[in-house]
Amino acid sequence: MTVPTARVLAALLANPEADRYGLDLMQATALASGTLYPILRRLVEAGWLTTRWEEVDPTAQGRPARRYYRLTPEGVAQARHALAEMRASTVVPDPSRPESAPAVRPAW
Amino acid sequence: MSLRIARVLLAAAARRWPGDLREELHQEWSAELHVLAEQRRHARMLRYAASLAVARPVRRADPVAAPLTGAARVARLVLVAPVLAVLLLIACLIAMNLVVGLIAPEDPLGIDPQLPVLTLFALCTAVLLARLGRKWTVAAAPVPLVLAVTVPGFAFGVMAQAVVGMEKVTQHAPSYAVFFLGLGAALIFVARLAAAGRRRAAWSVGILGATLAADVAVILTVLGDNAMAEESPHPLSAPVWLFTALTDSGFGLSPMQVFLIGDVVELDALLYLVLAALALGAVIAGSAARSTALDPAASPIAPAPSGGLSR
Repeated sequence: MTVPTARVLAALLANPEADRYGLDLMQATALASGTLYPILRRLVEAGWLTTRWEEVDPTAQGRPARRYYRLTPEGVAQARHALAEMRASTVVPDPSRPESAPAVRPAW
Repeated sequence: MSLRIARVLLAAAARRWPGDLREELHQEWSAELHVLAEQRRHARMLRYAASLAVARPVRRADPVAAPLTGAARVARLVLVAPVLAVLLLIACLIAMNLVVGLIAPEDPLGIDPQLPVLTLFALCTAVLLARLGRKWTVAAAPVPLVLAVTVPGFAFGVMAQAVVGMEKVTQHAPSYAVFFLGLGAALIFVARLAAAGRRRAAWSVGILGATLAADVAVILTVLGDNAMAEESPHPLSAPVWLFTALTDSGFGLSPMQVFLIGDVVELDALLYLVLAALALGAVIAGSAARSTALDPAASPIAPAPSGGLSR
């Protein structure tokens, strides 16, 4: 998993029940739009994200409807697993700790 | 004004995505752009649109490849692609003859443009073949993928020399073996980098590795030619022989030495160029596609058609 993808997943996992939109996620992840949207599209196609359009009347509001993203239940589980794996793979083992003790703190 | 530029950039960005996604993505981005415009954040608006316009969009698998079975895709990569590369190189030779006949029929400056023109055409062909390799690749593990793009190149090269004569095989086959072994070793690293999503690094390592392998192979060919004993260039100049073979330039070598290098190496350097480009395109795309197939969140490109190579 790439670091930008991990950032997107972490931002979405911060509140899995919330609907997030592009600019919001750009701000949360500090990613450029050109990096963020391909990641979102891949996650949608993988079934990790679901999308819905904002329920507004574009004519009345004078602006187009926004698209919201949210993790699917499978996406939540997969994202947590992927981030935990990533975290575990980047932890440097502490030589002072006994071998019987767990080397990695559970991520979630 | 900035809103107008941003809209043009968004329209250009949307056109780069698959057709069925363009409209909805354009609508989504327009909504976000509208929010930024309302907040009068002009610089951010332009950054938002420009980033999308230059970004690498998600690509779908090649629709032409879809009807092919796994075995047919592998056959296309292993058999058709290298033959096509050789045919394109022959087409380059024909085109070079036509162009040189037009631009320098009498050679008034005493400069022979044949090899530089041929190399220019071969470079363009290499770019095309790299793109073809990307499209025709199969998602596979590094070792089978690297074997699929190096062994056929070696075999076709040796067979082509065998058509001319067995003494040519003796002269060129060891160099081909060295080149494809070196290229294969570099491609293993390239595959790892591509699988990790580091495509630019993969291309850089691949180009560097292929250049080094080609340089060593050309050196072996030149040193292995006994007929060059008296006029042979000094071994210290060996690193530039590849570039001499590609450009007909001396880099300090005498005209006779330049001629001898070109005469011994023949078209090997150009063959290395086009086959390395094909191999790089295939390995980078195939490795990235495999990585995506194993982990949907892993790679910045969509999967290429999966093939029958073992994983």
